[in-house]
Amino acid sequence: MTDEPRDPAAEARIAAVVEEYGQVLRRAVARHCPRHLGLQPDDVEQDARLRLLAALRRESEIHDLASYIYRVAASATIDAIRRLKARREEQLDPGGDGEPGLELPVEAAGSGERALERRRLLEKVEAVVDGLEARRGQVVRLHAQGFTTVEMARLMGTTEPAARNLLHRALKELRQRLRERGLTYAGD
Amino acid sequence: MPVTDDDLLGLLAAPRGPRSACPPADTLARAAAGPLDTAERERVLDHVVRCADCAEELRAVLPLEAWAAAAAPRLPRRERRPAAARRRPPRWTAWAAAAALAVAASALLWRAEGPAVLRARRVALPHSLLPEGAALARGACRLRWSDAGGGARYAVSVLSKDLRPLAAADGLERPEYVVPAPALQSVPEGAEIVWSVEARWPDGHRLASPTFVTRLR
Repeated sequence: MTDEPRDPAAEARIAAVVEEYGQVLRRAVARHCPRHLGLQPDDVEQDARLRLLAALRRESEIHDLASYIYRVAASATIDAIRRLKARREEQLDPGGDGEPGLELPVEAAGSGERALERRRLLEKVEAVVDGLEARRGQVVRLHAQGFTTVEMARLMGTTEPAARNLLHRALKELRQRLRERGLTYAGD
Repeated sequence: MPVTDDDLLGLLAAPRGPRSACPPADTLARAAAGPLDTAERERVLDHVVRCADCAEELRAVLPLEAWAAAAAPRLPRRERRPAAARRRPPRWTAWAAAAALAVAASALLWRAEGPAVLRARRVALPHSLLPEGAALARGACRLRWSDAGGGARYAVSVLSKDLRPLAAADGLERPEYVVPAPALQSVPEGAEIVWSVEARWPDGHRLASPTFVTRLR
């Protein structure tokens, strides 16, 4: 066992950063994570803070500290969210087989003509998006998932103006192709 | 009936499905931080655009980057060892081999289900071996967890319920840790402590346990 002696001043600085992380994390989880699974920002925070604290106390000689703590914090956050999601799903489906079923959009879950019409529309849109050039398809789907062009740029390894331009062209092509398939637009 | 762009985006919003195909948390975190190579980044993106869970997890962590950049300068930096005491950097062949191994391991992790990866490595996520609801005496606070296998060593962190650090240890060879009694002096009678374990293997792999909560008496 190797209980390491701790420098109180260093510990205080680490604790302050971890405390701040907790606050940022709570806001991010509250904003982006679904409420229907009962995911509580406080629960995510406790698990993730513990992970970050352990990592900060453990590591030394890190060349790019900002990048390192971002990765550790992001990984800890995702882990904590996933654990809680899994726990909630178990509680919601105690006798289930562990594989959550696909969740249909609310509108599609209804029965009748409208649901069928929406299903056909979805198939048409999916086919058109799949037919776009790969990067254009990605950017359209990222847009649909709610990512901003700044976030898209970071994920795609490009600049924000390039991502914005790509999205603009991709949506234009998507609309054009859907028109060719007989879909009419509000405002056309 | 005319449709709007919002209709189209609503239709394209990905469903929630089984998590078995999702990339590991660390891979998503590295995608957010930007250091993935092109091929791996494309695989992650191809998944994220069709997985509502991964998309929301990724969106939840993207705002942390600004915090990390602001927080880094305020963290203590440990003194670097003198140059002579540092290990010699491996030659480029060793780096290339390590990189190839990392890519292969990453690809394996990415494709396989989490439990399958664990089975392939013959290791397991540590879980607490303390009886459910048991209370430990502060003079004999022995935390025990399952052996992760594969010659793992363990790092353990113990905190108060309000996440104040109480004790930590590293390099433990056995899956247990006795929390020093003085470290628990500030914890009130009947209060809970939270603790977690990280298993570390000689090849550098690490797995963190969930957080456990134990009552003191």
